Amino acid sequence: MRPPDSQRPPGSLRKQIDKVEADLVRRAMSGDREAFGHIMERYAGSARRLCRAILRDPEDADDAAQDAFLSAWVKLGQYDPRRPLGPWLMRIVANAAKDRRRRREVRRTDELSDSMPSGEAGPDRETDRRMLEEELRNALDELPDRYRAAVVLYDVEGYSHAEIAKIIGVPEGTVRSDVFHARRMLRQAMDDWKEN
Amino acid sequence: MNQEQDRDMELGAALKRALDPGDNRAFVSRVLTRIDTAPVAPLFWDLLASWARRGVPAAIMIAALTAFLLALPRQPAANLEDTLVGGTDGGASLITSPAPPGTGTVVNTP
Repeated sequence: MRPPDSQRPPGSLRKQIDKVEADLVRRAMSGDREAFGHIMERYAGSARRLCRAILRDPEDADDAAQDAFLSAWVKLGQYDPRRPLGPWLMRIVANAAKDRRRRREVRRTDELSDSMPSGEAGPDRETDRRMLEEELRNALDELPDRYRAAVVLYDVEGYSHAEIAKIIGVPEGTVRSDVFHARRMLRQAMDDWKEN
Repeated sequence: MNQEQDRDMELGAALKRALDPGDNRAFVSRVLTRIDTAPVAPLFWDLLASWARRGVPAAIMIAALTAFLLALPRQPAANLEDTLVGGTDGGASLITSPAPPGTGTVVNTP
């Protein structure tokens, strides 16, 4: 099972974390709300980032992530503890985000962010970092929905192609292709930004 | 290829920062509050899936039962005369005999 934010530690430490998570799941499945809270703390970051990648709007994304965790709480009895929790949970999250996108017209942000400075980057590294983040968010906005989910799940959250295929419900080959194209476009945006 | 080596770590880290949602603890508290207070409405597709899980087996059972009933050999309806009036004379003894008929005369028992 996957630790928080997918910074996967190797070997015995990972096993220990898996054991802790298995225990949390077992407790949550028997109705322990606090244990479910700990599980949420582990996956909240990943879930919110995935929702944000799919929906783009941060408020919509958080609403969808909340729906997803509520749904996971209700459906916890259907979870097979022999399988990793992460992909199961992320599938619910992806479905919640898609569900919300279907029901609500996505408010696309056409305006350029006020926080984006105009040209003169300055020596401030923090400003540079923020500008790159803004650039990446804009580049993400340009990607097709499926590309965004695939590249975030792969390069940010650390899921395998096979796991992502199950999470977003497309063939594994499609995931590979989506990640490849998304990366190429995002890399291009990063390189353009660096050159300028 | 090893999946870990295949990842674009620089892009991944930059995307992670770009999508950083902020305070997760506050988020978790909000969800826990909703768990405690609000009735949970299932997602549309979950609801549909739960119906399908029950509906599909039920439909299969109904179809199988119907097929079974249709496949049963049909027995012709029994003739009332064959049942009520026994013997080879077609019930003539009922009319011609001066004595009351016995049970064997009225009901054709095997």
